[in-house]
Amino acid sequence: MDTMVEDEILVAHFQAGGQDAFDELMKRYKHKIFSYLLRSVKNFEDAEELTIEVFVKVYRALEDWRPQARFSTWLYRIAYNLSIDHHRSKSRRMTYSLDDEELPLDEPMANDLRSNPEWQVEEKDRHRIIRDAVDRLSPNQKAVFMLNRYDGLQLNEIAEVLGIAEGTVKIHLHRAMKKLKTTLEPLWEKNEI
Amino acid sequence: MKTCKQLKELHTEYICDLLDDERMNLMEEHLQHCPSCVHAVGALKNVLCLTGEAGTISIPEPILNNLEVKVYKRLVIESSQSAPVSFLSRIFGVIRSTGNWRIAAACCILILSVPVASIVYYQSRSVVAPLSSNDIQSPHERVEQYKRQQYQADLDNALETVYLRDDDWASVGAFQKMKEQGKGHLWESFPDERLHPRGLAPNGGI
Ligand SMILES: [Zn+2]
Repeated sequence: MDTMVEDEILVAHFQAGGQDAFDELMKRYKHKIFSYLLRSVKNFEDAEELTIEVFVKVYRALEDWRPQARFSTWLYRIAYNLSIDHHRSKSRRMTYSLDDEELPLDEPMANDLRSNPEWQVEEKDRHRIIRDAVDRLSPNQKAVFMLNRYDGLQLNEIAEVLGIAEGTVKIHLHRAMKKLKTTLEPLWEKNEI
Repeated sequence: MKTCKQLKELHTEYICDLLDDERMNLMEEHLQHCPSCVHAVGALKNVLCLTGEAGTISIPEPILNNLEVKVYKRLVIESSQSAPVSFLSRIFGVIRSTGNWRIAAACCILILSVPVASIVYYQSRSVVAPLSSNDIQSPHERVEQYKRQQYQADLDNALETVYLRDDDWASVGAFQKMKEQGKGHLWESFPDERLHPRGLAPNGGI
């Protein structure tokens, strides 16, 4: 099938009875959705399970889907909602707040590293430190940052995925960048990352 | 003309390429003579660079290879479970909500007649097709199709293994010919001599 065919045309093709169109949509997005979910749940098994669930939901709903938004945005919205449900069910103790309250920065990795200047940071550890910094963003900041930087979604698309205003998305991205800069800048200035 | 403080609020949008032309020009002009903003913008670029590098994940190919068929299998399982379960739960819901045991007895009789009706119904449609279009295969049919494709791929691999073992490159032509002839055949329907063309015993071969 022509890879340049737009998703929405493939959906129409599926709705008209072309089963192959759904396979093509899965082929196009399975890697992206899996990566997105893997970043969110940090576990291969759960990411695979949720990716399957995303496409099962899409299959069931696709007959009635009308292209008011882009297909890819709808797909990410389903993945986002499932990842939220996953976090909620996995950890009832932790309130997974959807508003934008700041998460406490109670154990900064940075201080640990600064206290040990002779410690040679290996590549893996370096990446882990940076990923930890992203993890310590608030849920909305993290969602916006990852969808924009890793999945390449535009601000209006992110707004649709998260169900918030585009202006709010911009604010989250701005705050996320500011917070990451505050966390990481002292580390790179000391050549620790 | 925007001040340095106002432009600082636009640094993120600037490095994420979200500014319109007018503001982009203003920013670039300002950056030519403001070391403080140059430093701040540089730091944000570094953030993007570091997080981009650390966020790159490689997914082993086999994990995603069979995702499509896993999706169809899930659809088959859910379709075959959901319809009878939802029907029965509705019946029990009526009993619970009314508390009337005459109705409950009537429901029991109804329930006893349900298996007969449902067997007839589900045998006529092996799974509940989630979509109405006649042209779309049911997930069950789709799983079968994937299985057939897998059989064919296994067969191709098996033939290749037999023919190319011990670097028997002279037989490549013969292998290609046989593979061509074998198109459309399934693993089970292939005669043994074609799988063991050089008189290899089944257990000593592939
Ligand atoms: Zn300035």
